[in-house]
Amino acid sequence: MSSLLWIRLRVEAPPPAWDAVAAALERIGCQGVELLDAPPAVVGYLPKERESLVESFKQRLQEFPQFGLPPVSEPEVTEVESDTWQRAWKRFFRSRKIGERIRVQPSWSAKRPQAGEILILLDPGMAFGTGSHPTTALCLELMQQYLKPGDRVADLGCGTGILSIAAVRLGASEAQAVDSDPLSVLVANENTERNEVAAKIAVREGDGWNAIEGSFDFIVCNILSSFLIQTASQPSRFLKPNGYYLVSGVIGRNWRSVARSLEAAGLHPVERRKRRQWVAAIYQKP
Amino acid sequence: MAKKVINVLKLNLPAGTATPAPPVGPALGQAGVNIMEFIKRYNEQTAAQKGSVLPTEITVYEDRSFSFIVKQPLASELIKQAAGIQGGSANPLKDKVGKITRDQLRQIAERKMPDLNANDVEAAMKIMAGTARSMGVEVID
Repeated sequence: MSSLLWIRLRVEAPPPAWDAVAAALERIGCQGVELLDAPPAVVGYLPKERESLVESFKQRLQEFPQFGLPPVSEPEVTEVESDTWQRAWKRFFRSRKIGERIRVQPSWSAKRPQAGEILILLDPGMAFGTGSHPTTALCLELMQQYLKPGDRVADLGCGTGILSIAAVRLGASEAQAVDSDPLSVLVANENTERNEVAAKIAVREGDGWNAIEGSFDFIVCNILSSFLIQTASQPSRFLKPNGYYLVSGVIGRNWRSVARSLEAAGLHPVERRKRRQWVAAIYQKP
Repeated sequence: MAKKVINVLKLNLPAGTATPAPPVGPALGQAGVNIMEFIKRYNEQTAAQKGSVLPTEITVYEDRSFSFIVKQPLASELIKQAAGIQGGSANPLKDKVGKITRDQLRQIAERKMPDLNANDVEAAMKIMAGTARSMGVEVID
């Protein structure tokens, strides 16, 4: 991914002034801020091309005492490149065994798989799914149990492509992987090639159910619960009789409304698993 | 045994629609947290409050796992809601964009007391009034 330039604005301010500084940053287009304790400061970021707005921000800060707010410092302005943080967390992604057979490993790791392990090599970039998150791990576990060799698989919200790659390595004849984020599509394509399964996986940019074609033995959907509820009538259209629908990405307190909508759509619950606050479950089309 | 905490990050983030763009990327990247994993959890947990910006405290542990809590909405959010406006004034000294009453100010101050380090409601109200005025919102009796 190409690197973008950002302007970092750091304002030293006592905590009572934080919300006012944050509001002024939001006013010039910052999507959220970071708050620092020692010394107390508020940090916001703007894309480089919006640098001209910094002057009006400085003006706002100087007016603070007139509003009865404590005075704050001039903003310290620095430039940062986006790739510095994109790579920063990678050193903490380690080889990891999930369920009985699957081992997920960073593409840069030299560790060798043990006998009988299915190895998936990943470079996640900025996409979701390394297997370290419960929503992904639960999917991998349930797939090892319910996916059959020869299955046709659909993977909605594919992220890094980890679940489609696992499906093919577990014997699926083909997989259609879909994500609405163009960056994820790029990353998923790289990962399918890295794992030598690209011939069996079609990665597409698209909007969930609208982007898949045909009928499937197994559909996995690891997105937000609101998506699962809104599209609860779709799995039956795309599943073959006795086909499985694996849902994940649901936080415990949202589970009941997801379950209710899937059952109302005629799907039968088969198994449900919970890890930390996350729930994943398998449903079957009668 | 409890896991060792190595970092506590404080971020104000848009509910349900956080992205890897700053401030999330730099703050979490430096702390060694998987940015996308955080975003997924945050957006799932805050989807119902879409449209507000929420103060979020993220605790990072030694193994780079994390947990987070979402705190009371920002004073500026509460002020916008009370005044019934979308955003603050571009020029708060000259252009006033809304009004709130002292009663509304007191309610906001009481809600924000735990996050403010203020000694009493009066002190918290003073801070809230300043925040309101810096957004072009007048406080009326």
